[in-house]
Amino acid sequence: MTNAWALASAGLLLLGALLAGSARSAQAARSRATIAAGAATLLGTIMLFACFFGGDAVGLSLGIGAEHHYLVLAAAANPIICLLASALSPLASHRQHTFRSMLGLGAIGNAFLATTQPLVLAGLWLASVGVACSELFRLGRGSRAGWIFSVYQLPSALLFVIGALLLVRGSTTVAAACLLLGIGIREATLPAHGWLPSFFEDAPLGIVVCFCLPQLGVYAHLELLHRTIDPTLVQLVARVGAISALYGAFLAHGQTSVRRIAAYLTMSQTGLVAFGLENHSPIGWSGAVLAWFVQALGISSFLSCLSALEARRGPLSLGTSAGDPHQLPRLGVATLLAGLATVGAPLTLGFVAEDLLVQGSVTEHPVLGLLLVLVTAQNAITVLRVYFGLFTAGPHRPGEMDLAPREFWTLSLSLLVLLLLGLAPGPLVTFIR
Amino acid sequence: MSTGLVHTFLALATGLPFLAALALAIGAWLGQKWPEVVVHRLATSALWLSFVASLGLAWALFWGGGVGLLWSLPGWFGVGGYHFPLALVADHLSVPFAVFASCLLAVTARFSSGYLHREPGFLRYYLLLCLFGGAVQLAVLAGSLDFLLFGWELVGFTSVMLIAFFHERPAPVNNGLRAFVVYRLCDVGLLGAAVWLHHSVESTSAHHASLFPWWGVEVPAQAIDVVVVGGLLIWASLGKGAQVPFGGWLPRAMEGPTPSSAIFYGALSVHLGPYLLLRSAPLLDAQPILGWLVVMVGLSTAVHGSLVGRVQSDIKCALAYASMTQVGVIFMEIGLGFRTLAVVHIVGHAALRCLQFLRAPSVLADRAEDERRAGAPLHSLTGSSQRRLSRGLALWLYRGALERGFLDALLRDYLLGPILALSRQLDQGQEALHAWLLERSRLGQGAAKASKAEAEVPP
Repeated sequence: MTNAWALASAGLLLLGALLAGSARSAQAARSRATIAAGAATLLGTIMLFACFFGGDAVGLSLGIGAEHHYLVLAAAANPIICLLASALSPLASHRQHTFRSMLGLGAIGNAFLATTQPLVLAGLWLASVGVACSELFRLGRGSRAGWIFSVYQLPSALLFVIGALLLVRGSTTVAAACLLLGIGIREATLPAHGWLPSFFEDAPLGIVVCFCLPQLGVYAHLELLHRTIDPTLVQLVARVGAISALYGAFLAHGQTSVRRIAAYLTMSQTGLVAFGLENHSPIGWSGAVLAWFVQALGISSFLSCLSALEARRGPLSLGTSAGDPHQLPRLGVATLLAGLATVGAPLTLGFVAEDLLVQGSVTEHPVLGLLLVLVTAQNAITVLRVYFGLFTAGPHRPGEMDLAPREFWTLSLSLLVLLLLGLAPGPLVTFIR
Repeated sequence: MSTGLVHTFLALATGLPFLAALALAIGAWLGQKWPEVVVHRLATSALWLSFVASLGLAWALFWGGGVGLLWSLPGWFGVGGYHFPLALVADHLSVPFAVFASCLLAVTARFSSGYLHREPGFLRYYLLLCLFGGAVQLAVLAGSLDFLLFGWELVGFTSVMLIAFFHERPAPVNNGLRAFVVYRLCDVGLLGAAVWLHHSVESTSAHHASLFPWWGVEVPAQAIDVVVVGGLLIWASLGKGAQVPFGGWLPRAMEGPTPSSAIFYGALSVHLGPYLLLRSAPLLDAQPILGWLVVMVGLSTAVHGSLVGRVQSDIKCALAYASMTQVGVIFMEIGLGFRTLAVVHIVGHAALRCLQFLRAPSVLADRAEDERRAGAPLHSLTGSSQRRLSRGLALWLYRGALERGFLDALLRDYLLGPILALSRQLDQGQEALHAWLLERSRLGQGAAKASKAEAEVPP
């Protein structure tokens, strides 16, 4: 299956990448990237509405069957991720080539969603690793992050390529094992999570957002592996996902570097999705897909807010980066809301995702299902710790301004989606089911 | 009275405070600088109207007789056989709670306009108060555990944000975070219980058993399921109810504005724990061990709160411990089966304590006025029992009470401290592994050198 509009969206993002790369200044690159991501977001939204209100006939005419409705959601989320990353990225750490890479990753992400051919997927997987790697090796810091990233991600890409080749040749069990290993490394599940904290710490946050949050592994899992892999592997993946979620939530408590905290929070939430995908119950599966969407928007918004704050305060640490709560009220509220939506607070779509995930998984995995509840509780504590540590009880910082209009409207869009769909989730849940 | 009218009252009682909160939130996000009077009138009107709707429910319940009404709304969302149980219940437990909660909320909102006049966070306060109002109405009128959880978590969030209301200072913020940690860890029990109930009886909707005057949780057939669900619900009630060993957050919560302390920790939030137990009463009766567990928790909290409260020098902290003591006694009443007495006790205690908190800022003036009228100094009424203790025991108890029963120290040293230390060590171990690999790998040697050089450069 190839859906043309996801490719069209990818094309827009690619065009934006090229334009941003050829801009004379970083500011112009950011403007171009933001406009291109905005146009792709608009296209994604139109397609989402068309499929949603037009019924199956419209979906089929666009190349999307009812069983792939979740794709529409993912492909609409991907440009929003790019939009958030572009609009809120600070110019000090994001140059023209950074914006080019960010939108390039977005384009690869949407192209990834447009196909189910294993070899094409493998090629795109490899390309995304290459783009992120090249950006990391551009950092003038001895490329420690680049080295660690390569040590994990190159084998991941290689395993994915081998898995895709074996899948094409028909040896499904070994192929599934290779693909799962590749996906597991990329999704930072235990014990292959080591690259994530250093990637978050050293890479520009825009690259982090555009590489991690589309969660290509989830799509690859759904299209290539779901319901075909061995039940033993299913159990294993579910357990590894749940334990990764718990481990990430646990490690976040001991950190003071905000980027490391964000890394472990992302790892924990990603583990929840991995766990949910292995549910045979449609309830848990729907919860996992919704959680995928929520995290794409929620964590992207959260990280983009941190990125915007870094532009104002420099490197963020919970011990030293506190600020006057009256100076950045909107940025503070946006950070808090995005974080809480991610961890399943009421009145947000995250609550719905968490409810479905837990309800659906408890029949198959009673203990792990209840463990998820503990994970989300811990992650909520982490989010509030970050909010209080950065936006309250600190000194007045002269010259620090609240959200610029570009940042304000982008965050408003993302938060509106998370809150409105949280209030009326029924149609969306029915749509992806 | 028609069912449609009861439904309308239920919707208005829960929805109006949320609508006011939504309006205030949109205004704040768009940067509207509304005058205090507009903010105050919007919030207060919504809360008074919610009170009127609650009175309508009470009238309908009285007029209609019977055991009340469960309103199951069309599915909010659902997949396959599962639907989120969106249900509201108007019965002999929820309606009295809704009436007195909305009344106290409206009174407190009226009181706060003068108390917080010209405060920079005026709008934020009313926004959180309205959100709390809607959440508490939702929690008490919820006809299923899942829906109760929705309101329950929002109550926790608003409570924390109001503890940290004066967020220019570190102490309120730290205390808010502390309360949030307790809330979240205990909320795990409520969500866990809801999930387990779905698993065992396939529903968390309120169920009416013939022996009970109100609707309650459906009792699973298996004893182990009853114990698990009941245990989780008791666990959930410990946090909000500030029971031993989690009560340490309550005196610290007094950092918030006095009106919010009154409504949260004197009146409503702190009584949600007992409310949850009252809803779970069928489980407590099905397995007596659960009832005895509640009694033990209540007894230890009452003793703890009573002892520690005696050495507090700050009026709000003394009131906080008095609240904790009374809630402990209410727990005991529930565990022993005196459920109607517990409801009366809750209503009476909430009203009295709310008034005491609201008068707390002028306690010295009040005492001086009382002494002036009496014509002599007023004597403490608590001294006689203390004088009967031996000096050694009195000193030991005094020290224990000053240290708040060493509960906070125990939790810090034996639970929180080791968890944080282990978390840091695991992270550092992972970093050390990467450094070791960098040094030994030909590819990584350049990176390791550069990394070392970077570390040596002074910032």
